[in-house]
Amino acid sequence: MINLKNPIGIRKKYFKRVITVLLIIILLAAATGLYITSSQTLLYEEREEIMKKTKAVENLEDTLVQVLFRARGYYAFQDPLELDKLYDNLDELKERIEQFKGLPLTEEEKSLQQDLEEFYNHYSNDLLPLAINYVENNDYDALRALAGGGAIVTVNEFLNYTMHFKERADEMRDKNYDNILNKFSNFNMMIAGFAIISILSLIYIIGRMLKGIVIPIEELSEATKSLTVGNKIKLESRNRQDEIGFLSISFQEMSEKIYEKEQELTAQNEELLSQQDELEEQQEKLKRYLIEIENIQKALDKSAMLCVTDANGVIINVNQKFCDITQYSKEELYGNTTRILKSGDHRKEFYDDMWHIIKNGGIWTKEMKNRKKDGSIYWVNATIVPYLDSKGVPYQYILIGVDITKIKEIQQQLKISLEETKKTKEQLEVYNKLNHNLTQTLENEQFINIVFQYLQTLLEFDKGIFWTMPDKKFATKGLTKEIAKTFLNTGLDDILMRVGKEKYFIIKREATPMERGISGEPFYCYDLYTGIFNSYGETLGVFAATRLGRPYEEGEVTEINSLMKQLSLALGQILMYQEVENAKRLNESIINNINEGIQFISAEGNMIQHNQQLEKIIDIEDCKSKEVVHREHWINCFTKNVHDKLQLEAYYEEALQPLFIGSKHMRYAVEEGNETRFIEVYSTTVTNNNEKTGTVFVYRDITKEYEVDQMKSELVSTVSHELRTPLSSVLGFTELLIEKEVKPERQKKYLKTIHKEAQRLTNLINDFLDLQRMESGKQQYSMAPIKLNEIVMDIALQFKHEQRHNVFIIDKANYVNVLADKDRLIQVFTNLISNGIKFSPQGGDITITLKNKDEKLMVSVSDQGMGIPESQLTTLFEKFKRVDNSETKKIGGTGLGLAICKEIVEAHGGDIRIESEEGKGTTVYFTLPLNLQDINDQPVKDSIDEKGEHDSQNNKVMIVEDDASLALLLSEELKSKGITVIHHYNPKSAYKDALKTDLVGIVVDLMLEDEMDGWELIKKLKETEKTKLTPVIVSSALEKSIENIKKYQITEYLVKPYPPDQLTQTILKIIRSHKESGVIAVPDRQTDTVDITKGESGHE
Amino acid sequence: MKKILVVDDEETLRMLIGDTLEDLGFLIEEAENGEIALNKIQKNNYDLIILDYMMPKLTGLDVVSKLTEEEKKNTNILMLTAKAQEKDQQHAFEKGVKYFMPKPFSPIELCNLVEEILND
Repeated sequence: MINLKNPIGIRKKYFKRVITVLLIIILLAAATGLYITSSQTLLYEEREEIMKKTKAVENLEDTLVQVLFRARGYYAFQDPLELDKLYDNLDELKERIEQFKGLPLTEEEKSLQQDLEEFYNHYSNDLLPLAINYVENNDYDALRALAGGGAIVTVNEFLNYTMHFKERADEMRDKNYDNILNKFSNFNMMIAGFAIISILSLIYIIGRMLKGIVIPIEELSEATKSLTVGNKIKLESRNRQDEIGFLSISFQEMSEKIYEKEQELTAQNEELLSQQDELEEQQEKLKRYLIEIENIQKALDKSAMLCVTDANGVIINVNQKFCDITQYSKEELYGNTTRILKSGDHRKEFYDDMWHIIKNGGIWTKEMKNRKKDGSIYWVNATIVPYLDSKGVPYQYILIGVDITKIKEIQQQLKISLEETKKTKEQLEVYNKLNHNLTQTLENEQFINIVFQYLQTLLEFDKGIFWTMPDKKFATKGLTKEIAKTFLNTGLDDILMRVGKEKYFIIKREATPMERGISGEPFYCYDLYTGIFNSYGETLGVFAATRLGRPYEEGEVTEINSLMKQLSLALGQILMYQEVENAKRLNESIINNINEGIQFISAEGNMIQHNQQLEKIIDIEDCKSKEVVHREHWINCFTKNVHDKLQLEAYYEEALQPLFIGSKHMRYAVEEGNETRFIEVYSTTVTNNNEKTGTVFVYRDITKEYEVDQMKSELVSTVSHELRTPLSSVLGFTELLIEKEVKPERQKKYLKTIHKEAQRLTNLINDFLDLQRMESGKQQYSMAPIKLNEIVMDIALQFKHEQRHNVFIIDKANYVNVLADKDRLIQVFTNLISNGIKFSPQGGDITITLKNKDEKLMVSVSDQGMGIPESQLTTLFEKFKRVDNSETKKIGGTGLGLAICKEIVEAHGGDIRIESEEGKGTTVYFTLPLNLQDINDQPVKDSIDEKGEHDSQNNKVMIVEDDASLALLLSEELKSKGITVIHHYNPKSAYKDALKTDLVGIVVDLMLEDEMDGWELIKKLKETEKTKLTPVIVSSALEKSIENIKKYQITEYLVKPYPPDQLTQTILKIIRSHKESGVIAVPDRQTDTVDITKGESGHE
Repeated sequence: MKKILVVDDEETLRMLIGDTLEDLGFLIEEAENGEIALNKIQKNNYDLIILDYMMPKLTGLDVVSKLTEEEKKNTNILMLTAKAQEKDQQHAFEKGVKYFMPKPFSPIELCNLVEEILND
């Protein structure tokens, strides 16, 4: 909207503009005029000045020329007048100079003026008087000199200057003129420009005014024109904020109002027109309605019963249809109430309800059962509409009825048939369910239960049983299981026979007292028996039911029998299925429990089935998960890791060929982890009607058999070799001896060889037989409690005479009781010791060590021989396995010794192993379980270690004694004190051993049956640095040799026989003193011992 | 004098063969295992090698296998075999052994055979 409150008036707007422009023009004109005037004045002044200066200079020149002229006139004529005039001129000059000085001068002019002043002063004060003087004196020479000496020069300069100045002044004047002329032309230009700008401004202002006022006015006039035509207008000038804007707005509003009014009028007019149309239409409609109503009336008369009654139900009017249906004539009906039509089948409430509704002005619609004139029934769908007066009270009723008798009848029929259908459907459902259950049932008991349940829904009975044959499984109602079982187990034959013959039968009998129960009256019971039969007429099942007091209806029995027929099929199936299933299970368990792996391959070559055993024989992890394993897949899986893969594949290919019929077998080796297993596979074609349906592969793990075979043939060849070799020698040499002349020494050599080889053969055969006996378990062991150390002592003694070897014993075992076969153990020791000796051809120690470990006695026999390569260690306990190299070949042996040892040790419940290092020696360890029975009986030895003074590891005592029993006795005694005893028979080996071992003491028997006797040993020991301080105890039957005791610093001299305890005490003393002093000291000699035993000496 | 190398791991057998053949005027050398035998064969020319089949490490068959064609052509080989199985003989025969004598053998028969071989 336009702001009309503060309109900006046209006057204000345009006058302001015009005045402003005019004022600016006037101001500009004035300023220009002023400027022009001032510049002109300046120029004039400048010219004035120049002219003045010129004048002054001219005057000066004149005066100066005058002066010079007068002076020269004076000089020439010496006329005093001239002189006077000269003075006058001089004064004039001075005046002129002053005058010039008063002008505004430039620098140059100033200096000129000063020069002039100086000249004047010099001339008037010096030159002139001097010249006057010269003149007066007529000294013209001097005068000429004077004139030439400066004054003239200055005058001439000045004259030149004035000349020059005049020229310059003229120039300046000219320039000044030029300036003035230029300025004037500029002014003219400026005035012309100014005039043009002024005119343009005026034109612009006038133009604006015209636009601002004329155009809106034109617009308004245009708008007025269009308004008269009736168009809606829109004014551009509305947005203005002046009178014109105001005018436009007012005009716009006015025109809009006019327009609206006009529109309204038009609309009203149109409405009136349409109303008229409507009225015409309605009239038309009404006409149509009338026709329609007439038609409806006609139609109603045809289809519906119409009856009009008064407020009390008295019939006033009816149509023909009403009469037709009710069979009453109009005359009969008029005046009667509708009650004459009542059928009497509706209750009173029905009518009360109707009247209640229609009396209150409501419309009532319901199906009604009425009675015709002839008494028959008709159904009507009746609608009663009340006619209401102005007060809303009904004064008439109209009844419109449609005859629905037929529909009703059909409905009734439908209802009946629906009910029947429903019943049938229910029956069908139950039956279907039974069928469904039966098809899903493959289990007998389930079948019986389902059938029995169904029978109960089908037939009402008080007691019943249903059982199948021949397994006599059953379901009952009203009978306990016990009764049912008793019943089934006795007297079934009659029933079965009768059922088999008659299919079903009913027995009517009197109720038993039990059945009668509380009923006092006797009544009849009806027993129904009916059976299920297979196609051969065999009885598969029987249903027996008892009804108390109610006979069976024929329909019921028929139904039951037809059911039984249907069941026969299902039951037959179940029984067959069970039979098959049982057979299958049996087969499966046979197949799974068989020792062979079985695999069934289809004709297409796919793996269909396999038994569990197969998985044990062959690793088929990769291909057992699936139901059917494809040909390539299972063959790939079965030939994995097989040595001769291609051959096995070829075997499968051949067996699986469609045309191949028959059986084939093959053996192959398969790598499994580290072991090789041998498998025998056997294939057989499965045929059906001479057609190949598949192939069965049977796998057997024959690794054991194979290995046994292998071992057997190896053994045979080894034995044959082992036997043939000595035989060759025996036979060969014998032949030579027989056939040829042989020198005697050779003869002996040959015979020795024959003997040796024959011996070897004997040993071999003995060992082999021994081993054979042991391996086959036929070896009889006569176990008896023995002390192993005793046996070891005995055996060691047997090797006493070995040239290069020392056999000695280290006994660390507190418990040595074992249950063993003495002879067999001797065999073990003999084998091991002779092995040790044989395989250390360079000689050395054979050490037998006894010690306890856990509850075992551990024995080791070690040598310092050539040792055994590690690779051969594991096989050494096998038969005929010897260390194979040329060195050992020389040594000979059966190769059965260790195998025998192993058998014996294991038969004693121990184990045996071997350790060896090539070039260093071999140790065989074996253990024997201790005889705990014995141990418990014997005193506990290590409890004597009461003072904790020693431990067996550190306290070693060597006994050098050739009497085994004494050595044993002493060693037992010492061991019981926790002292380790090293026993030597041979003084030489004892000496060697003493050098290597730290000993607490050495017990030496003087009478050793050897090249070295006891004293020699002692002497050697005392001479040796290592053993010098080791206490030596002499154990001898010989009398004491005081001399030697002193000589060899014998610690103790025990004379045999002495109680073993004595030796122990002596040793313990040594140990104690050793502990106290830290060195091995010689204990103070207790000669008591000698004294005690003296009397008993002389034994040896 | 014809040179014969006796290879057997059994000392007594070497003695038996050696003594008998020496009596017949042959020069006998002995080798107690296959390695030594091979060594000797390379260094010397023998007219006959009497080779035991069953020896530890290198068997008689191994020794034959290691002989060069040249050596085989120049040397007769007589194999003593305790395993008189045909299979082993067949192997040896394929390797170029022409003469066999099963253990235990008669030294006189051996002498006859040796003389027969070397006189051919």
